[in-house]
Amino acid sequence: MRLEAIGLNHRTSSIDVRDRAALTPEKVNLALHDLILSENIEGALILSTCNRSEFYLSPYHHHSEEDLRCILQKYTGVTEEEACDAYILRDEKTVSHLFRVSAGIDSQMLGEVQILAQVKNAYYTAHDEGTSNSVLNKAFLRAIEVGKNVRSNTEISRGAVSVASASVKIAERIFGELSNRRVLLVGAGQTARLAAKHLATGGVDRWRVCNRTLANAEVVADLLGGEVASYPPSVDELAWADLIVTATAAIEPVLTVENMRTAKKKRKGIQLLLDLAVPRDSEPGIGDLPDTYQYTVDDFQDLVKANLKARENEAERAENIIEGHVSEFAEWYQENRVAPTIKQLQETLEELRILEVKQYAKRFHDTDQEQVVLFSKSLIRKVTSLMIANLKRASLEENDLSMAKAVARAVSLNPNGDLTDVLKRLDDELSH
Amino acid sequence: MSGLLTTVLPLMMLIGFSVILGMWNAPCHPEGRKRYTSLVLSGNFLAAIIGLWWVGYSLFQRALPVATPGQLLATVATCVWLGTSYAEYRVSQRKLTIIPLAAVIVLMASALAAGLNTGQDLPENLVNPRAAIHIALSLAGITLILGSGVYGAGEIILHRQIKSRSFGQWFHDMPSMSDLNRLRRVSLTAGWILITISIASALGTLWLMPASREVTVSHLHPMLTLWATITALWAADRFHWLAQQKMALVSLLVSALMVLLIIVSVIGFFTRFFA
Repeated sequence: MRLEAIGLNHRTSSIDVRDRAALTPEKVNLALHDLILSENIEGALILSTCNRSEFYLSPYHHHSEEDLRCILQKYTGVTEEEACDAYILRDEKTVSHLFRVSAGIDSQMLGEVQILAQVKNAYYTAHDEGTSNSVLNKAFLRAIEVGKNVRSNTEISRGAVSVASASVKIAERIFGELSNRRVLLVGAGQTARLAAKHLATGGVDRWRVCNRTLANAEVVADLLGGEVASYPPSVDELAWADLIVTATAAIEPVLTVENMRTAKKKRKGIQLLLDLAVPRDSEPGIGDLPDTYQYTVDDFQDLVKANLKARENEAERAENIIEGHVSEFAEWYQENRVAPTIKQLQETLEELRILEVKQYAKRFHDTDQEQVVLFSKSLIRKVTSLMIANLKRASLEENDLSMAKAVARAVSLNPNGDLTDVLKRLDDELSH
Repeated sequence: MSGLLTTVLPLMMLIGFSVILGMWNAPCHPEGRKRYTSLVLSGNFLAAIIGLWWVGYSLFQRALPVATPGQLLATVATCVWLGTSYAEYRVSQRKLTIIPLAAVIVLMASALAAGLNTGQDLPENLVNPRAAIHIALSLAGITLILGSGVYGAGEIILHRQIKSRSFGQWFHDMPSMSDLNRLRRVSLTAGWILITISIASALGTLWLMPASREVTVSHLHPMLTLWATITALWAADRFHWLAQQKMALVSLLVSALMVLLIIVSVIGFFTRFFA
């Protein structure tokens, strides 16, 4: 199989190395065009994300490990030592790896969904730049299909696996639709912003933000399209909110049981308090108030762990699906090895058919012309379909390309032109 | 025609509900999402069939099918499934649908076991439209109050899962707390309205038909107690006298009490009536 890959990911390299190895879209384009100029590369595709940098190549002959490491070093800027940690894959192992990547099995966060979109982007980039060939196209299209298939037939992507996404999950279990829910964000740091981002994605659009430093609260409130509230939050602010998210750096609790109890008297319905701060921003007894749920970072860890465990259990089912797709791809590849020969055969016979029909056209009456064309097409179709079936069978079942070579020679109109290329390809295949 | 309405169609519906119940356990898995949609469609189809059957049987019998315990059970089954289908149209009930599904199967099977045919001419009082409407409204109202109890139970289960941080299958597969609360409150309000109209119609009948006063009054006492209880529950919910979780618990308890009162009242009424 003319397919190989070299790459770095979270298993092989530290985050610093992965950061350095990540390519911008511009660099990916430049690298693709540069790679395709190489004599031994027919197709090239680069998958570069914050967690992995992988080069997928379709060479005429497999590169040596050293050559592949040079390629990685050249385009990512990693050192020789760092490149030694990279994984090198060939043939079916490359396909299997790609399918696992697309399905999220190879991701740091098992079953993550973003990788599928990144695989799609990588494919479209190479396709649009004209650097992918039929093998890479087929492999990546199938990988996208596998990614979707695994996610819809297993629970590998189910359940929140980060504190921020878990907090949204809890909020959804309590409130259902999050639109029209009122959220008070206490704190304006990175954690608060990340939680707010997830909640906004979940549909929240009514915000009040409070923070010790007013300017920071204003910035976050502007970003969310909300209002700024006083810090620490007043009883009225607490009573206003359906959902309170706290993530400050305060050492003492910002929310007390007494304040929350007073606020409860001023409002109806359930209230959810998500305390994402360490040390915590809320007193422990708040969760005992009626219709009040209090969640801290530790509680989310339990949910995250439970979901990760569930995903791990699903991984085996996903592997089985992938295995089936890898076998199908290998079968397609075996068949596809004779595709250039088949194309040449069809083109040659079609050329001859047109010439012959033209030559004998005058011998037939005008009314019979159409019949002659139909007859010639039918004859050629029958001859070629028989030959194609035998060529594919020999390639697939007996791994025999000698018939394909003989056909390529037999039907060549110009021995110095296309034939050389087709025979070279068949020889390459045999050498694999 | 009689056999078709009293045996064949109910039996086919029973099979249909059983098939859906058998498949409902899976729909919350990703591979079952399409199946969930098709199950909901099948459920809607069965709702249409059971509704048409109930109307058809009423026309065939020239009276609402509330004349025998079997018919009462079948009417309750119809109310349960029509109510569930409407609720599903508003909110995806996911795994909670298993409860009404199981209830419909038990009710329908009991109705078939008890027999849907009266086997004799219907008593004059049951053919009377006022009595029939009273019974039908009561059944629909009671079904809705029972439904509010089921949704209350759902709220309690989900509340406990969220409080105890035990994120099991029910945590993932139940409707949200807010949806359950909404369904419970709507069921309670609608049930209270229907039962109030039903009680009013019973009082009207009592006034217009003094001949049946002896039977009716003895039946009316537990029903008035029930109405008073439901009214208190509805008012507590409407005016937020209790916290949401306490309301859910009270709804569940009232539903249980109601089942008890109904059993005492209805069985006693029919025993005296056919004696």
